[in-house]
Amino acid sequence: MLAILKFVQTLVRTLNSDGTPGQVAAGIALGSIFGLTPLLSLHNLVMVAVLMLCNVSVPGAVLGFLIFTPFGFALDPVFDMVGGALLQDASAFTPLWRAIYHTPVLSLSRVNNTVTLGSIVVWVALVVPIFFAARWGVARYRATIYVRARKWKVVRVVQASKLYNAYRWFRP
Amino acid sequence: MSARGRWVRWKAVVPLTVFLGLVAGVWWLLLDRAVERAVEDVGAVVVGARVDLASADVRVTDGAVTFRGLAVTNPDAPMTNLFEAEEIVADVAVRPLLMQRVVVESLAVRGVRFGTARETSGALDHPSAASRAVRSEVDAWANSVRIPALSLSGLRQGVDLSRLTPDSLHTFRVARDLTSDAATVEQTFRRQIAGLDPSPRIDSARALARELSGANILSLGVGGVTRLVGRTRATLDVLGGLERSLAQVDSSARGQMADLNRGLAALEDAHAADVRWAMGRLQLPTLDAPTVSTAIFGRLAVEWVRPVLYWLNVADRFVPPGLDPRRMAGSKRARRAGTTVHYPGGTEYPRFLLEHADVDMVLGGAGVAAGAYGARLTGLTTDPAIYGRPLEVTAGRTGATAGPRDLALAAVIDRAGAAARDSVDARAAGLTLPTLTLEELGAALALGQGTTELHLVREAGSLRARWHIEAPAVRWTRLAAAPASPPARGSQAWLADLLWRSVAGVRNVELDMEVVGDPARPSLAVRSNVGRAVVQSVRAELGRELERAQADVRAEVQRLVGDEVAAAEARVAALRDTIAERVGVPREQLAAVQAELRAQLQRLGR
Repeated sequence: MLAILKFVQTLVRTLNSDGTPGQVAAGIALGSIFGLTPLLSLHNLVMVAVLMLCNVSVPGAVLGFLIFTPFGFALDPVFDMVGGALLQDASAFTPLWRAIYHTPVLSLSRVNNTVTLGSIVVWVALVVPIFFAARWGVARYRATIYVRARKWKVVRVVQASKLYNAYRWFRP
Repeated sequence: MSARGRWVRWKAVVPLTVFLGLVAGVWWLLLDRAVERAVEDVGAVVVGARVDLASADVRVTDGAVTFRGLAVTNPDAPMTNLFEAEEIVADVAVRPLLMQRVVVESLAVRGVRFGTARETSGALDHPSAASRAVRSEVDAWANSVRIPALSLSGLRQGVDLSRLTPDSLHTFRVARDLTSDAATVEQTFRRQIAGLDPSPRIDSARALARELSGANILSLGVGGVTRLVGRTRATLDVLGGLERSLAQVDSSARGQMADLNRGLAALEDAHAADVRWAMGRLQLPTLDAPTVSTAIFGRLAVEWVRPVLYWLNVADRFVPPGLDPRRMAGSKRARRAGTTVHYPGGTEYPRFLLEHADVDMVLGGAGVAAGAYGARLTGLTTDPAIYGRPLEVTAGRTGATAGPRDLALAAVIDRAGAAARDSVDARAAGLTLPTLTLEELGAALALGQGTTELHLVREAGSLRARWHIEAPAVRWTRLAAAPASPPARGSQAWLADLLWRSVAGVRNVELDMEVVGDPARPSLAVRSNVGRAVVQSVRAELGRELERAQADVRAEVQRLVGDEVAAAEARVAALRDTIAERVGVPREQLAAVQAELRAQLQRLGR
């Protein structure tokens, strides 16, 4: 229940933020990697740094993470299959995987695992469509629903809270 | 520039630094637990049973790791530990860790104890696919070993030969398979030879040879001779190609014939094994000492040899020779584990390497095993082809508490080359050997103190292991009460009494178990002086009845499988003749006509 409330809160805040639809969409697209790929991975640490340093919506990234986590679990068999095809069947890529495997630090990325590699590849393939879909969705939301929603008491309460101020710090 | 227009959010640098610091801090705090869990998880995958570690203390900057309270479950006895170690101190090279390689430069193990009892079962609910595969291979081997029965009751009841059917005999199936294999080989051979069809080309070459022999150089003129020489050379080229094709078919057929000849030899072995098995099934003892020894000690031998094969299989699976990519199940996590592919080579570091380990253990008390022991291990690695040296283990007793005793182990596991080459030599003298319950003899055998030796040599696909046990002062105990009065001759009690009397006087027991063949499914042979004693005793009492009954069984087995065996032998013999006729004869004709053409060519050239 708490997780659902948290999700709704994040959703409302993100969609209503001052960031442009493009910044929010970029946050969602980049943040989707946390949901789609195994969370405790080196590439996700790098992505955290990218998200914090680049002028994209951090709440958007959190939203992307929350939205895509169930998809990540559901699509694991697909990731396994894609990763398996690339790691085990496509011999043309073997020198690349071998090079990564033997490169210090890079070898810690664990792209020699079928699920990790498959999920990264699928994320790379989806990141642009996710960005455009999210940008369209946020723009449509702001033009239609948000116009009415900002008058709601609950939204004003959230916006007035200290938590909201803290969140504004990372807002684009 | 407005916040919206800038690409980089410089104000996040400090929070990012703090965040990364926090991540590093959490990693630092959880590192001990993570290493502890990794040891338990990887250990469980390799061993096929639970591996417990009480604590791990990792000091990354010093490259020092200390493990305390390691307990490795015996996969064959989940309520027992294979061994426990109080403390393990390892020096780990730091640089390879950046490449996910673990190189342990030295390791000291203290307080090792073997065979300790566990409070909870160490069996895994979900063993890894690798250990399941190893277990099922070893179980399949154990189930495939035919242990003949040792019972004399068949003599008492009369032999019911109707219990034997062709389908119950291996020979029948082997013969049928051999016939079918011979048919397949013949079909392939006929197809190949029909595709070549050498006769027209040989006939044509013969015609040319005749033409050449009748040719007059003077009447042909220069042009005619040149054309004839050209035709002859072209024909010789064609014949050369035909010769090569025939040689290829011949070589392939010979290879397949060699397989079929091995099948014929296997047929003889299967026949002998069936006779032994049939005698066991009809409760007639085969009165040769190895069979009787196998009947008495076979089941125990299978249980004793099983762990040896299990660990050989584990070594094969986890320390394979060569540098091919290796696929393993990914580490456990909430998400699907997937498959992790490792690529050996390309670096000086193997995935795991233990360069050197010293193990010290002390067994207390005043028992025969009390004393200090030491073991040294070098070159334990997952990638022997990179390390380039074999794993070597030596162990011995460094100090005895009670009398002169001997314990020595020397093992070399060499996977550095293309094929596995392993050898193990172990000897332990003065140890208390177990008490065996021998249902077949109706007796318990307390081996007492004795000597045990194991010699194992494995080269690629061939394994030869011999396990010798010698106990000079054994004690026999009858499982059932002795009869009050001498039992009637031929009765069950009389037969049981006969077996008991056969062994009761044996004081020095020698037992040899030999495992030979394919490491996945080797054959097992057991020899013992106990078996010889039983054979001598039974022969003295029941020689004539037994020989008559055995002759009946042999005749019945021969009757049941004779036709099928004869058919297989005839099929293989016919195929041998066919190959000789269809390849041998054309090759001879080809050689003759080639020689003739070359001779004529030489004449034309003069």
